[in-house]
Amino acid sequence: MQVIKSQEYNKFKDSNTCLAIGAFDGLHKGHQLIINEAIKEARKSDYPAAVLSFHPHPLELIKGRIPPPSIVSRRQKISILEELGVDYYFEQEFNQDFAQLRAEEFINDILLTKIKVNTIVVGDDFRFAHKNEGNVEILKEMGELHGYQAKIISQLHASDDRISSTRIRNLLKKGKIIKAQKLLGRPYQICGEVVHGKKRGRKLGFPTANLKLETNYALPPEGVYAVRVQHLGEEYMGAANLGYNPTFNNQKISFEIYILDFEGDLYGERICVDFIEFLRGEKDFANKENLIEQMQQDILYTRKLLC
Amino acid sequence: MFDGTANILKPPGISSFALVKKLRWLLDEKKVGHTGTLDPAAAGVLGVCFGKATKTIPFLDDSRKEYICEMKLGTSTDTLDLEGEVIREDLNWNQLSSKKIETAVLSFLGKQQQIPPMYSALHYQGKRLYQLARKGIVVERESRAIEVFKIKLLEINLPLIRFKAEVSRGTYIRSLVRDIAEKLNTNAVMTFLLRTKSGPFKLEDAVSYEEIKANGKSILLNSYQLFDLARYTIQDEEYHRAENGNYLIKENFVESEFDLEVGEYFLLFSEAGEFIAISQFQIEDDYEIFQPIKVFI
Repeated sequence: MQVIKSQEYNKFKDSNTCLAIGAFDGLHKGHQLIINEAIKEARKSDYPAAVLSFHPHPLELIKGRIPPPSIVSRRQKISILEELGVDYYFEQEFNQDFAQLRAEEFINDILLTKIKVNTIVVGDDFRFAHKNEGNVEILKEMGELHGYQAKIISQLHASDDRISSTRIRNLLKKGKIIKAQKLLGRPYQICGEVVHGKKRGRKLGFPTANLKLETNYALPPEGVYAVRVQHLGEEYMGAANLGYNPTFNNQKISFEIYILDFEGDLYGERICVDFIEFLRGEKDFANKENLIEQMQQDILYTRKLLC
Repeated sequence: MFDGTANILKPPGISSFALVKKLRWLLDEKKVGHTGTLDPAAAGVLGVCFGKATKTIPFLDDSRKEYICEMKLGTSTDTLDLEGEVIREDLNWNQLSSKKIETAVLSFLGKQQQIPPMYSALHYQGKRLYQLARKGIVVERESRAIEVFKIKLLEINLPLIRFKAEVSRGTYIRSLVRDIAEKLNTNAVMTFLLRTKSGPFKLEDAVSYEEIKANGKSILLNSYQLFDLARYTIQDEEYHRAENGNYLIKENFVESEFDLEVGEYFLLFSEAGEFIAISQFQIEDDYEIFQPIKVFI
């Protein structure tokens, strides 16, 4: 998959693009359905399958509005699109100029002229362009005029519940990671760079990797979780402690992972952590020995759970 | 007719040769030579000498060039820039930390061996490498000694990276891009190149074709303006000796004190302030002589 930023659109040489468009801020099962439809269309005629999405989050641009916490970072979004089998990811920079674009300009100048679309796939609630004036009706009408196919996917429902990013954020907040995993179609995952921590774990005999998270993630409640750690194609088991800490590494949360059966140096490396199961809440311990005992139990349980 | 030098800002999308041709017409000067070709897609400074100023070319320092380069990770083409066909793709860059990228870029500082790109004008068994490359032939190229004098990472905006480098003559920035990517276990192409310095020609002083068209020759440089050399004045009586390229002695000059090393070049002027020649201070049979090397009148 090639990532093509908006300033590079005019260097795009392919044509007959089958394009899924959306904010895709969760890349959950509903989003995947839309993207898979574009891929299916592309494979039928050996056309390129592509996704157009936005960066940064459109709400970053609106004064006084704070975008909701992320379910996926920019990098994760790229990795997931690649895994789905997308050929090109058009990453549209969401800036003032783009926000001012009229619906017809977006279709003509970007979709037709630069991306050379054959098929467009969107969700039925897709809105775009200046003041959200663009909708699926306009996309369809313009398609008849300019000879592209517009496919509208209705919302995916899971056991009568609408799949949405907001819903996933709420589930995570309540600690319902198994349910969130169902809507996502994959374990909930957060990524970041391993940084130097306080080395408290090391002193207790449990060296941990301290993660500086790469975006403002939606996070489950504090506590200890059984996790799987991904690093350069390898997978490890781990027990992770998610806590809140006012003065640690300039981020309010601290996320430390004890990686099982791992020896090596991860400083400066990017790793991703899948949440598998909630083990226990945060506890205060009377002494060091009790803490060590609890940690040994956490690890034992993680092993049982993940092996 | 025009004798002088221009520090031209070449826009992307026109070949160095085509731009020089346009300037020949504009300035009505047939004799023209330029220093250090820039690829058509690249932008930046191009030194162009007109008329008698072409004689200065061998004296213009072209040992150091400075570039700002943008590269895109994850894609590789046969030409190593966006002109070519995509031959490889990967997403390994998505796992790289900024620290790793910076370390890889900075590791190219200093003297090293570099393998030139297949798409280059170098010769291989009597043919240009790009002639072979266009037929799909890839041959083993010998590495060349180059030096990166300075290198600085300017921006990481994955998959794009921007860096600035001052390099020796003969360094291929496209090869540097390829080698940085290899160090990071990914692929890359050069997406943008701006030459900010070429010997004495600097970006901040460069003028565009349009500016020359609007302002005329007055914004261009005298033949000698780029030389950071000592200046001495010949007495009017000896003007013709100098003009004919005959050697001169101390007593022929207006000045009586000279601060020159043996072999050092200097600029020779007439009492009226006319630039006569690039000259050299020499010792011949124990005599100090001042030899005009290139005469410009």
